Amino acid sequence: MKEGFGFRSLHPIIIFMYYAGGITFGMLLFHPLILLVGWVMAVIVNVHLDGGREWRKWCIPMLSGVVLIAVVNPILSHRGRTVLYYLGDIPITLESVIYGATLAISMLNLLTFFVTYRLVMTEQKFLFLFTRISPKAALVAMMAMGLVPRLRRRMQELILIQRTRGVTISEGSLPQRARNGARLVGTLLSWTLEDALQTADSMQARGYGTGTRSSYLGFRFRMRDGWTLVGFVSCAILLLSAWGNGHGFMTIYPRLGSFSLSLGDGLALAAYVVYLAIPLGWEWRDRRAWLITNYRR
Amino acid sequence: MNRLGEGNGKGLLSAKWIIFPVAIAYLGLAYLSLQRGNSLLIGLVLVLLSMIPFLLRFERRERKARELMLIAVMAAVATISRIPFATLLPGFTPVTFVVMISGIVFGAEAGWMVGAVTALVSNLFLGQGPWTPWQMFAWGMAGYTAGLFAHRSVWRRRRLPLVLFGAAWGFLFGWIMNLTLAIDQWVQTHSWEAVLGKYVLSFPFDLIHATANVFFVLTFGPSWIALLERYRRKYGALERIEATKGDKSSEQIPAVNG
Repeated sequence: MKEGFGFRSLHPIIIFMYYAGGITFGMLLFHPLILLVGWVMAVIVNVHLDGGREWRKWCIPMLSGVVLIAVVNPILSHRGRTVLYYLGDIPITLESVIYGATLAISMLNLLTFFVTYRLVMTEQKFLFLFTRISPKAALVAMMAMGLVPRLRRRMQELILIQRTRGVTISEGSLPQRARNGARLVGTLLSWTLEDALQTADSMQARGYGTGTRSSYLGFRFRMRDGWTLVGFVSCAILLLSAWGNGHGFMTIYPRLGSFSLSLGDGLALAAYVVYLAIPLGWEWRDRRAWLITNYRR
Repeated sequence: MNRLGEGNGKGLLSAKWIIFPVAIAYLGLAYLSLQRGNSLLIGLVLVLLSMIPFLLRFERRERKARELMLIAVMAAVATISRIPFATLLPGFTPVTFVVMISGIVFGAEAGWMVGAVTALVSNLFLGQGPWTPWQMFAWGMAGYTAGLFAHRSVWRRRRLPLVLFGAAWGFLFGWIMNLTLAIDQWVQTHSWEAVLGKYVLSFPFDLIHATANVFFVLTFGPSWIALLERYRRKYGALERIEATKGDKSSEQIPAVNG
């Protein structure tokens, strides 16, 4: 499953809109059930795009951060009618526990959703989009990104070589180790600056900055992009109108409301789920097309 | 919604102007969201909007490939510099130090760019989230203010002023990063105690960050400044106007290192 297949084959603008919208809706909606369903959808999108490999890698750090939010909130905030118990002198209220949990789910939802961004929005697409708005900054960001893996290899090499001289970060007192670490970074910097500036001269020699930047891949706005856009916009209108009429979030303070979803909440939830699922439609369609053309001739 | 620029000069202009209606729409949404007790969006929208002037300023000037490369290298080195320190204390990283030094040597604008790009790129490897724009803002401002701070006089590039500056940014960075949850606490409870509680909870981490900055400035500040100064002069990139007018200011730098 490479570029040109399913979700990944959509136009960069559509992909960008999908992520911008998904994050916005994830922050606007504040109801534990809706957010949980959103999280499940985000996991499904993850599984469809790369079998959930990337998501599993982030699972533990995401969960630990989110649990921290859920735990800290009731300790800091004492608002709410229903006191569960007293932690020393501090009242722990049901409302602030629920608020913390909802905030944590909301955060988990956003983080899980954004894991797929890296899979879908490749560097080419990012540059294609942002060279129109901020060409130099986008180029700098992409160059820095490209440098990171190379510098990481160099850093490992440096750590290995310097260890033979006794410059190591795994032994010795804390200040000594910190000093050695910074010395490694300094060496890496002077090493990298030398050849990076040669790269820059090479760029200059090949005519960087003499015209507008062109893209190697030609992204065309196709029929499927148009349909996806229509789907996004109609879902967004539905969701925002439900939200504007006061649905899609739960009353927590001062007294905990009911968890059950009203009709408007249900509408917002449906619009949210459909919005998140639209790119999967293209995944399914392309998968089917691939199977049909390859096996059922 | 004509977001498709035509690819030439005119298209570029129209693509840029799309920001304004989007920004206004988002401000409205964020305001409504705030009224309903959810402050996550308003913080993000304001922080993203605050980056626009810096980006516009950066784009306005003609940039050589060398200058862009220099900024990219500094950002990449700042990102990588987290690796050898991962086994030490959490939060004890030289990222803020690298950003500050870039601001001092290459000027405020470049410093902002290094900080913002570092946050963006390092989070691509460590995990993006709602904190990315805040980190871009905080590190960007660290680089920007470092540039402004050192611009005034050569004396400020000495160890002592830089140590104070680094310590201040160690705390400021943590305070900026706390804002999301602090505003959320305020919207939730309207009590200053809860907001203060958040800051007290994070104090040890801020202290580690400030200590790291002080340590790196003390031990490596002058030598790094000298190293980068040399590259700046050797390749003539990101030159300051003062430095090109009279060579006195650049001649004083070796004396500072001694």
